[in-house]
Amino acid sequence: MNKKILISDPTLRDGNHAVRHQITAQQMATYCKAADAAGIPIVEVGHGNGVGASSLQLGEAIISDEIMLRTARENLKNSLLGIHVIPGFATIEKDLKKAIEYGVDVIRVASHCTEADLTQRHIEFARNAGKNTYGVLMMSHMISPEGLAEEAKKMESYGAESLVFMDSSGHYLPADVTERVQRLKDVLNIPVGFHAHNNLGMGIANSVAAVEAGATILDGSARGFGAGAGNAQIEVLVAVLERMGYETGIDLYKLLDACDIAEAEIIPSLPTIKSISIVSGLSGVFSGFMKPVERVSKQFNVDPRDVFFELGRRKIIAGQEDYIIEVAAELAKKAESQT
Amino acid sequence: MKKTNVAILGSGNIGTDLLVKIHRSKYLHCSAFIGRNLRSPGMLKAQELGVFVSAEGIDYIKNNPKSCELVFDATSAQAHIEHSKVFKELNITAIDLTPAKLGPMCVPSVNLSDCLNEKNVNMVTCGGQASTPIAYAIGKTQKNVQYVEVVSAIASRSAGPATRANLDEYIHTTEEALKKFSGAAKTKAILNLNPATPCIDMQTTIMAKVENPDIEKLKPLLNEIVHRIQSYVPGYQIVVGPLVENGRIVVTIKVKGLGDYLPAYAGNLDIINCAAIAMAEEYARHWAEEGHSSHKGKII
Amino acid sequence: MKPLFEDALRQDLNPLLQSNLNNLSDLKNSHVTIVGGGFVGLWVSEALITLNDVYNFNIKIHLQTLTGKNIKSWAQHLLHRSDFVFSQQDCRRSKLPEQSNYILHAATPVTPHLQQSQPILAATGIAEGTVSCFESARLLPELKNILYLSSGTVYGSQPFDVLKISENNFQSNDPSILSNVYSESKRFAEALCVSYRNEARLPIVIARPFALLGPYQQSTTPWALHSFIADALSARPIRILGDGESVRSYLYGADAAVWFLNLLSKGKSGSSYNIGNPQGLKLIEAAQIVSRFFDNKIEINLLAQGAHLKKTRFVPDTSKFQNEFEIHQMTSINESIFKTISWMKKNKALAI
Repeated sequence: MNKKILISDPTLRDGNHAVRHQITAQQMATYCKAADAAGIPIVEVGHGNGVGASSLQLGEAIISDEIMLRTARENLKNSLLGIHVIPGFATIEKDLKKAIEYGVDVIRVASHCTEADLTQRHIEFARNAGKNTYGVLMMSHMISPEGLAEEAKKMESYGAESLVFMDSSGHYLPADVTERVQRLKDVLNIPVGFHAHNNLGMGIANSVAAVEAGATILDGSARGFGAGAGNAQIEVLVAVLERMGYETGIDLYKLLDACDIAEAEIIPSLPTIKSISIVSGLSGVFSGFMKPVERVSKQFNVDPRDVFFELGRRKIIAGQEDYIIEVAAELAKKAESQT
Repeated sequence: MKKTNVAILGSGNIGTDLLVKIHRSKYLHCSAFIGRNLRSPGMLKAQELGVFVSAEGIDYIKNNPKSCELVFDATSAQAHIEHSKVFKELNITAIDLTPAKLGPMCVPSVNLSDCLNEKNVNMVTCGGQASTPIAYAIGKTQKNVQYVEVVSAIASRSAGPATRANLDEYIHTTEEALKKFSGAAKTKAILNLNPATPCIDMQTTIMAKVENPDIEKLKPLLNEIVHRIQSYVPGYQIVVGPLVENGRIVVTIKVKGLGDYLPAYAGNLDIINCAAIAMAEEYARHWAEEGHSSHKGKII
Repeated sequence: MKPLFEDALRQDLNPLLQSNLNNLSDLKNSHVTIVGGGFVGLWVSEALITLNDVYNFNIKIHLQTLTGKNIKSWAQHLLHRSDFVFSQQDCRRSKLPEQSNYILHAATPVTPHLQQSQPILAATGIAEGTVSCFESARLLPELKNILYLSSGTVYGSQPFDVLKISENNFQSNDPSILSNVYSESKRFAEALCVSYRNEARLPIVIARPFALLGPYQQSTTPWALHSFIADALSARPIRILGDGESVRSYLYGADAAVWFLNLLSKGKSGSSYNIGNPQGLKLIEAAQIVSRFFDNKIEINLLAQGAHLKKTRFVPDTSKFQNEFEIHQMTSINESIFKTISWMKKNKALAI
């Protein structure tokens, strides 16, 4: 049995969703140093939706990709520097080449769970550039386990060296995760990883289910800092894995220190499962929609919960944040016509 | 009025949809539908419509230089680079639906008449056809347009392998067109593919950061432009805005296709085809006024 | 007044539909296109009109078939309905109606007894018919689901000790043998299903029917049970090839139609399901049941009794379908055979 689990830390990437992409260079430097000292194998940084995603649609980051990556690079000595890349937002020419120039080690190329073929050129490019290349399938609850395996297999055929599937809405229960990991293990020859969201309080439980089914890569962030209700909490994850007899190579004390620093320096309010996060998880809408849904619902004076369920009914995927306005405007109009 | 002879190169879905549209046109006559495989669905459709078909590809045009005055190239960027040499030599006007970008970018609701003197025009991208007219209206009416961003969502089923493989080129070309037509210092294009069943209609949101957004000033030109687009894309409509949200101008449009050959949800493909037809008809009218005889200026 | 044949079909279908209305509710107010006017096409049409007449489902039915021979000779009543349209079309060049929500592809280019004398038509017809249907489906704006009828033969010949064939019991067939052309073509058709589902994003469910039985089948169908019935109808002894120990199973048309409709309305894209009767019976038992429905004594002869005749078994495991759709009752084999014989007796004159 493989007892080693690779931990990848997206605190400085997914956490950006929670602060409308306002993590500063100073904060990045501080956390990178602490994470590096704790021996976290991979530290991901960037806009919440990855490089090239700073936009009006998704929120503008306070600092450029270049500053984020250069800052992280300077402060990571042992940890690998990772980025998240979504074709459709980031292009090879504009974003990927520069990221490589700034010194990234791990390139995680992501797509909506049904659209793996969009990643072909980016994965091939990253792989040919000699970078550690991942395929990532987001919003994975929106496809059957069989379909997920097919899309994952495509990514492997493009050259992905690891495959991570994300529960981007925090919709899964442990059995859902087990089934998917098993499917993926059946068809893939590369390691399988899982990225949990905590909307239904299942972040750690789902991560445990993943490793028990054979996943060897897990994402976790400091205090769970991430979109919506947050991710699996890295310090809990590492502690739980240690109890279960898995090795992560991370120094627990130093990790706890890093997380304390994150709480003091970066995280303005600790992720909790707010009412709206539960609705987001139930409706199967991307957790990163929480902030914009709250903002737009307020402007249009509609119930954000109604907005979430309507977005879920329309099967809106991550990246389609502009539909929030349309849905809110329609709900407002409907409410008006009823009074 | 005598109809202008046009040829379609490329018998895939785009070419076949163009064919159906030309069949309806008062100004255009499809004199040749050219592909590679006589048994492909597009070829069968052409034969059903009684249109002359050829499986010789560009060689058909080389061997029959008088067959058309204008050609729609719906093949690939790489092929168009080769084809364009033939069109140039034979003095045939080309409407390029590939991402080759050899000629100037053409968005009929904005620069139709500027394109009349061109021999090769490029139809930009589907997102470009949908968004640049709005960006143009913003550019014309607002002060200091710092940034324009366009997000399009299309039905996953409407994006074939070529669209998927050329996602980066789509983004670069759309951004370039936005810059050109809005005058914005910085632009960004984003594309989402949504797999929902039944398929979603194409939807595009245009967002702009300008100094002191003035919606009232924007409205008249915006309405005029939308009206112009609707004259060739009837299914084009504004669904949100114009409004100011979070300090930026927001307009969302939806494109329902005509459903000629392609399904109605594929508004992304319909809008680029409709634009190409609008341009071709303008050439035809222009040439008729000029007394452009069908073989004038041809090197034979 | 003589009860009409279509009323008999409705009596078969109605209780099955009634207990299953929840699963079928998505079909309400939809447009269903059926490609193929054979046994399955007709039975599914009957089930759909029953849903319309008894439960106000308001389904528009469009049936495409090459010649329309079956409808014209056996199902005239369909032709007089406003909710039913039938068009003569070669499935290899099919153009599906634009408003179609659900597609059932149940066309087969050759009848079973011609599969080996016209293998070219069998192979190319299956491939072209499948491609053409999917290409046309790509242009449909309101498409919700496609049910593709493959075949239980895709599993390849199975050892006798496999009591029931489940969805993962694949044995590979030798593709260079003539008698495997049909099953190999169906295997290729399934590869097309996967390809179109994945690349063209079409929602496609695969059904793998085993032997089906009932009205709308001719006694000339080259299956054991049908030849027994043919023998009995001609008042000659039933001849069984072998020792009668081979095992077959037959699902009645009404059950099959309801099962197919379940898959059409609720089947998940990418899934495949066995459709058939999970209760096997020995050929000798089948012959005995047949003989019981004839007043005159029918002899049963075992032919070529000998060691060289291989005993075979062809029975589906249908638990995947039955558990997912919670359908556990089905028409008994006795009743199925009886209804089939009655129909064949009545339609003997029509049999071609």
